[in-house]
Amino acid sequence: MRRYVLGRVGQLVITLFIYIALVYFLLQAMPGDISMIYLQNPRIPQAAREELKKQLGLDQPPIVQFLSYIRNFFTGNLGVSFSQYPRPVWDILLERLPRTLVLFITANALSFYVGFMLGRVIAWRRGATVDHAATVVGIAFWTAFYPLLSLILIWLFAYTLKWLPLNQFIEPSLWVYAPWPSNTVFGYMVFGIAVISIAVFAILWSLGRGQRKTGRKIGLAWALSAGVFAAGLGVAASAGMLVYMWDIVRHMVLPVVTLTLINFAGTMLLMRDSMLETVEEDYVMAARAKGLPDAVVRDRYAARNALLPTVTSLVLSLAASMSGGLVTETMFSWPGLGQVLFRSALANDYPLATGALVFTGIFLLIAHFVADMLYAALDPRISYGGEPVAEG
Amino acid sequence: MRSLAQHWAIFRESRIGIAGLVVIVCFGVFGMMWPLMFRNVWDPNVYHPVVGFDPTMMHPAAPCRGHLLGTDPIGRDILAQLMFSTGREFLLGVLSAMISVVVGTFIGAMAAYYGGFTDAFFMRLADIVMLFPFVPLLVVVGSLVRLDMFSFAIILGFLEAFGGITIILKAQALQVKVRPYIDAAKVAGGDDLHIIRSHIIPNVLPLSFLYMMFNVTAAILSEATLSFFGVLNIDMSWGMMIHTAETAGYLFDYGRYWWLWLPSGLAITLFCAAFYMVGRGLDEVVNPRLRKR
Amino acid sequence: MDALLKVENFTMHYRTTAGHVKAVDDVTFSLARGQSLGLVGESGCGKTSIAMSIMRLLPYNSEIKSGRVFLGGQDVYSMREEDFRKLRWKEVAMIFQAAMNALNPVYTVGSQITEVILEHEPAASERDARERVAELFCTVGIPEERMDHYPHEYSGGMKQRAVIAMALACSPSLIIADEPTTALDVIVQDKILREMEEIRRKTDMSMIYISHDISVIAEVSDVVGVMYAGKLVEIGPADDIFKRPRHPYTYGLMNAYPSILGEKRDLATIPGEPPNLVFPPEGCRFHPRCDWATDECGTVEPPARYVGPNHSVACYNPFPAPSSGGDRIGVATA
Repeated sequence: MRRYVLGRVGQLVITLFIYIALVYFLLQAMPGDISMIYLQNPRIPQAAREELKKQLGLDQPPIVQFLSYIRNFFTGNLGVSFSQYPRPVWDILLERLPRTLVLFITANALSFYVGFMLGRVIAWRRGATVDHAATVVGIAFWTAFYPLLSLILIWLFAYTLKWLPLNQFIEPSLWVYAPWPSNTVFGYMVFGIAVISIAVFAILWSLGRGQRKTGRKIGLAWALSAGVFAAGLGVAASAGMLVYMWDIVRHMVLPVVTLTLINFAGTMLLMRDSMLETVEEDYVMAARAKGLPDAVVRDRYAARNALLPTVTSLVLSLAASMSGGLVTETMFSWPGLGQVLFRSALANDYPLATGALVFTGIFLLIAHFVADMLYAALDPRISYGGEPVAEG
Repeated sequence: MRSLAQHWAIFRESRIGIAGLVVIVCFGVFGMMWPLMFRNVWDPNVYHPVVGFDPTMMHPAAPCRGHLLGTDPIGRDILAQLMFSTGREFLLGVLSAMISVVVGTFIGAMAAYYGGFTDAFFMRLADIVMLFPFVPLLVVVGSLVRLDMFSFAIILGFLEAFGGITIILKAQALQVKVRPYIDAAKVAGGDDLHIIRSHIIPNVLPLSFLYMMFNVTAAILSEATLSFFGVLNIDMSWGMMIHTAETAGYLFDYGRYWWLWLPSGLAITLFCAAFYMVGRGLDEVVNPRLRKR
Repeated sequence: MDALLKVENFTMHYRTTAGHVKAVDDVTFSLARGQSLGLVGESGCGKTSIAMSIMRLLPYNSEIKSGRVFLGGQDVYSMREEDFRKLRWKEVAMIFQAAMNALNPVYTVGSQITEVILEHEPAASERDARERVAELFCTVGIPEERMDHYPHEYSGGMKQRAVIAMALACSPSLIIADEPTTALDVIVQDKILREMEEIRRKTDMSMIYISHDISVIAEVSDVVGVMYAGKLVEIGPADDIFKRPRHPYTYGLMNAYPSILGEKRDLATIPGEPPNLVFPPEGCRFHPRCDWATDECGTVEPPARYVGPNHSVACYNPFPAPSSGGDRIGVATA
C-alpha cells in the first residue's frame, strides 16, 4: 500500500512539472505576449529597453526563465496581474480558489452520489420503464450544451419562479452593513462544514462497524449526526453569521445544481453498464443462493463491485468536468478560478492566465490523486501491490 | 469475427442507436438543404449567415413569415445560420473524431503489439494528457492565437488520440494479441506491420468506431463551448450564435428573446445526443452483456 | 425412508431468440435424508438447470411448464419468494460450479460466511458467527487466521474449501454440489471429494453431486442419475448402475471416461453430438446416436420403467443383465 501511494505521489509530481512546463512554454510561444508589446513600445529608448529586458529577466535563455518561474512559484510569487494592476496574481488566485473548490467538490460529490444511486436502481430493474426513462433523460443532460442548461435553469428558478437569486456570489445590498467581508464568512462556513462532515463520518464509521445492523444503532447514528449539525448551526447563529451564510448558500444552489445535472448522467450510465456486467457474476448468483435479501445482493454484491470501474471513470472525467465548471462560473458570474481564467485570457493578462491555468492543473492533479486513493481503498486487490498473493 | 451485416442486425435491435441514427440523418438532410435554399429560394443579401441583413424590419425580430426563426441582433436570419452551421459541425466533429480514432487505434495497436518501452511511453503520455484541463487551456491559447475551425479540429483530434482512447484501444488490442492466430501469422513469417494492419486493427475496429461516435460528441461540445466564449476564429457556428446573443446582451433577458439562444442550443444538444446514442447502440454490438434481453 | 427432496414430472424451458430450449423434460426423482445422489451427463444436458430449479434461482427467461419440487415436504414454487429466501442456505445450500468466482472479491472470506449466518440465525451474535466460521475452517482444513483475508489471497484449492465451508455454515439438510472439483487438479480433487463425503456421513446431510465426470460420481454417490438432453434416462443405486448399466447412453458414458480404480482398457467414445434442444429429436432423444435404435425409438418417447429395485430406465431396448447380454456389450466397444 505504501509503495502504491509513493508511486502515485511520484507520478503526480512528474505530471505537475510537465504540466507547468507545457503551460509556461505554450504561452511563451504565443504571439501577443503582453510583455513583448510592452518592450516594443517605440517610445521606450533602445538603451532603456535593454535595461528593462534585463530587469524582467527576458535576456536569459528560456530554460533559465522557466526555472526562475518555478522557483518563484514555490515562494508564492506568480507576478503581478496586468488587468488588476498592481494586485499580485497569487493573492487573486488564493481569494478565488476556495470558491471554485467548494463548487467543484460539492457538485462532483453530489453528481457522483446521484449517478451511483440511479445507476444502481436502473441496472437492477433493467428493461423496466424507469430504466428507459432514466437513460433518455441521462443522455439529454450528459450531452446538453452547458450554457443552454444554465440559461434554462436560471430562467425557470430565478426568473420565473423567483425561488433563488439570479447569479453572483452574494447579494450586495445585504452585505453593505455586514461586519465581515464575504470571504471571511465563506471561510468559516467551509471550515464548519468540513468539521461537521468529519464528525458525521466518524459517527457513521464507529457505529457502522460490524455486520449486525440494529435499528437502535441506526437511530443513534442519525440522532448524533443531527445533533452535530444542529450544534454547528447554533454556533453560526450565535456568532450572527447565519444570515450571511444562508445568502451564500442560496447563491450556490443553482451553479451546483447545474454542474450536478451536467455530470451525474455520466456516472449513472457508466454505473448501469458496469453493473449489468457484475450482476452476471457468479458471486451475485451465490449471494442469492445464500438467501440474502434482494437489497443486500444488489448493494453489497452487484453495486459494490460495479463501483470500481465507475470510480476509475470518475478519476478520468475530473479534467472534463473542469470545463463544465468554467462555463458554469461564467454563466452564473461565480467569482471563482474559472471566471478569472476566462477574463484574464480575454484581457491578455498573461501572468494571471498562466497562474490560473497552473492553479487549475494543480487542483485537478490533487483531485485526481484523492480519487485514486479512494479507488485503492475500495479495491482490496490493489492494496497489496496489485498482484494476487502466490498460491498457498 | 462477425460480418458487417451481422453487426448491423445487432445494432438494429437497439432502439436508442436507431433513434440517434435517424436524428443524424435528419441533420444531414437539414444541412444539405442549405446550398439549395441559398441558391434557389433565399435572397443572398438578406439570408447570408454572416453578412446578411434584412432592411425591412427592426432587429432582433421575432419569428415571422420571412424569418421562420427570427433574426439576430445584427439582422441575420437564424434559420439560415442554423442550416449553414450544420454542415460545418459535421465536418468538425467527423474530422476530429477520425483523427483521434485513426491515430489512437494505431498507437494502441502498436503499444499492445510491441509492449515494453513503446507501451510504457504511450501509456504514461496518455495518463498525463488525460489530466490536462483542455478547455481552460484552449480558452487561454485560443484567446492569443484565434484558431480557425480546421486547425481546431486537428488539435482536438490529436489531444483525444493521445489521451484515454489509446488506453482503451490498447486493452482491446492486447486481448487480440494473445489469440493463437497472431502467433500463427508470426510463424508464417508475417512482418510486424502486416500483422498489426491485417490482424490486430480489424479486431479493434468496432471499438474504435464506437469511440469515434463519443468523440464527435466531445468535439462538438468543445467547439460550442469555445465559440461561446468567443475565442475561436470561426465566423459562424451554433456556439457562435449563442455568443452573438450573449455579447449583444440579449442572453440575460431570458424568456423574451428565446429565438436567439434556444434553436442553436437545442441543435447542439440534439446533435451531440444523436452521436452519443449511436455510440451506445454500437456499445451493445461490441459488448454482448449490454444487449437487450 | 423419508424423502427430503422430491422432483415430480418437472419440465422447464428457456426462451431464447432461437426458440424454446427444452432444457429439462419430465424429470422425476426423489432423495432421502442422508442419501447422496450423483447427476451425470454431458455439458448442457440440464444438470445445472435442475440444481437451479431446486434452489428456485432460475434466470429471467426460464419457464416452468409442468411439475413440482418438494423440499422437506413443502412445495418450493407455491411458496412466497420472501419465505423461500429464508429457507435458502438454511435448508438447501450450494457449492457452485466455478467456486473461484463465487466469492465476492471485495470482502474478506470470513465476513462472507458470517454474513450468511447472521442473516439466517437472528439469535446469533457476531462473536458466535465468527466462532462458527473458525470451526468450519478447521473442518475443511483452512488455517483459522485466513478468515480475515480476501479471496485473491487464497489459492484455488483453498477457495474451493472456503466455498464448502460456506455451504456448511447453516448446517443445511441438502447441499447441491455443482461440479465441485472440476477446476482443481486430480489429486486435490480426490482429497476434497473424500473430505466432503466424510463430512456428509458425519452430519447426515443429503447431497447432490453434479458432474460430467462419471469417475467423480462413482466415488461419492449412493444413487446415480444419468441425464441426456434434458431427460433423466436412467436412475438407480450406484452399484447397480456401475455394474449393470441398462441404458445405452449410460454404457457409452462409462466407457468414455477412464476409471481411476478399474482395470486398464480402451476408451470408447459416443459418436455424434448432443442434440439441439430447441428442436430435440422425435421419440427417444438419444436414438440418432444409439447403435441399437429401432423404428419405435424414433417415433414415441420411451417411458421410464423399473428394471430392478429403485432402478428405472427410459429405453425400449435396455441392456439385459450382464449374464445374458455379453455379446451386445461387445458390439459397443468395437
